[in-house]
Amino acid sequence: MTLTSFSFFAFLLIGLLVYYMSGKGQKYVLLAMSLFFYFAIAPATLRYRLKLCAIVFYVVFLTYVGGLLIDRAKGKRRTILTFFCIGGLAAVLFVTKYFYNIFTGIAGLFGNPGAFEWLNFGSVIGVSYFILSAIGYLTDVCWESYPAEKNPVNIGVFVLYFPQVISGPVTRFSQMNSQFCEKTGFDPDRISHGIRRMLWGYFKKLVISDRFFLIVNAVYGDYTAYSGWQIFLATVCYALRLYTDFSGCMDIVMGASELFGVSLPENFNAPFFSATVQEFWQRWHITLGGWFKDYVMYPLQKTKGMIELGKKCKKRFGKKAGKKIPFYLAMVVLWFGIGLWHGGAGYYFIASAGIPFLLMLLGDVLSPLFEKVSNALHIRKESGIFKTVCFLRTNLLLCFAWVFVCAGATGRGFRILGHQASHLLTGERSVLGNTTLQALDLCLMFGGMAVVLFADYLQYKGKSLTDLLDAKPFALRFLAVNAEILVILFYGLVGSSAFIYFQF
Amino acid sequence: MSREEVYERLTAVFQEVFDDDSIELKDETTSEDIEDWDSFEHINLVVAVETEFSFKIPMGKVITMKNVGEMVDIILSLGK
Repeated sequence: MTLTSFSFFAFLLIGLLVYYMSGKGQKYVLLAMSLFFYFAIAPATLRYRLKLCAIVFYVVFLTYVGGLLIDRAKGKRRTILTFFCIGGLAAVLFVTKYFYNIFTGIAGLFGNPGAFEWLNFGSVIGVSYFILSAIGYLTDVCWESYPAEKNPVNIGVFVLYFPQVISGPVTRFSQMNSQFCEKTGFDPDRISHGIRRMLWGYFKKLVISDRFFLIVNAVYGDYTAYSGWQIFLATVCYALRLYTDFSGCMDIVMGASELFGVSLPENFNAPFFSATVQEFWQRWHITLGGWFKDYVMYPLQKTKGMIELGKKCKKRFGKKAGKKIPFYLAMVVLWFGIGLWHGGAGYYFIASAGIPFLLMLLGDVLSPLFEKVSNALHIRKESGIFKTVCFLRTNLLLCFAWVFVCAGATGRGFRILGHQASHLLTGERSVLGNTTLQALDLCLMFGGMAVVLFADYLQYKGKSLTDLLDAKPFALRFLAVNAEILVILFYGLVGSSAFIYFQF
Repeated sequence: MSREEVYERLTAVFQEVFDDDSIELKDETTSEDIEDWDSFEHINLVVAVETEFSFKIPMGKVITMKNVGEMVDIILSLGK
């Protein structure tokens, strides 16, 4: 089963019927659906599913029992218990994502690369998302934000809730539990909203994203045949592809969740309309950034050592510069965590952590200089032109990061950047000449992207495309939704590629 | 400690942290209303508040407080 398969729609339909007929037992239906979905979406060998079963049971059990134990403990014992429980959960991430590669590499040096085959868990779908949610819950219990949950079913639904389990968003127990526990009545408006949100996601993924993928694949597959600016165009296409893929996936899962009366936290807020790189990361994958900020950066900044360091730095370097040093240190840890979360591969580290961190650091350090220059040139910061220049600057800078993701390896990423600089205008091939894309495909890609960016612009301005459409006559709305369905059915590239963020 | 007294001392802390003597606080004031109140300054602000009132604000409250009104409520509850 995938999010774009017929079996997923059949699963949703049957699930919805049972859910709305089950009265107070709705959360049990959600748990059963979540378990079924999780095992149905995984690759089909029995051995693999048994491994998944063991991992899922371990995570839910540790989260449930750990929460209860932490809640009862006091003082140092509470901290130690939390440390061990979080360690137990984090171990799942490390064992399933990193250990096999690390140990196989070491064993290979001693001529026995297969010695750690038993550590090969394959890909554990969604592990990076639900482990973070579970760690957040245990930390909240330790911090006395709320008492531990006494019903194991509620913990099971929270960890494994099917729309979010494979690619987020990373959720908080305090946001979700009341929604799972309250009986949800059938609300046609909410169902309609959910279906429209899902359609919007399918449109982004199947009509737009997968077509941009063809360009990226062609150019990055044989980059030496292309000029620097064509590689740059392919990199921009990758940024658009990544956004429509991931945000499209989020629209589908949030829409699916709305059908069951459960609202998930938003993961995107018009990221391309960001004046700075810092703002971009506040608008992109919001729940992941928020998680690392609340559970890694803030606690670290508030440790005694960091506060003392801040005081010393203020004395030494003055108030303004001094207080930034502990912040930059905390940022290093935060971005290291984000790089590790993205799989820890060198090129992902550079793209998802190294370059964004450096750009943010430079932006922050140089901001007084930018301020002086813009004042000297009498630039009006509120003007549309200035804001547009800032949006373009942010997105162009981030293209450096996307090059490494597209390259698939650190060395290759640097070689591609070198090739771009040395062959800026000279190349054997043209971007469009080497893909199967026709004029209609280009219209769908760029026309569709224009609609997505218009919707994002409305979001940036605090409005929404849905509200705008809802204010129009019924006939127009009917036409818009049906046109969207027809475009997806006739021009959607179903089954051409999986969602990018499933790999994490 | 009265709410007014907390507001008086808290305003002084905000003015010192953000280097802005014109800051006036209300229950509804959020990070959106104060230009430099971002994720970086949030912890500096919390530490300055803790120093001023001589107690530790639990991390759970640090990450969930939504506006100045909630911050004042926390200070009043911890200062009892």
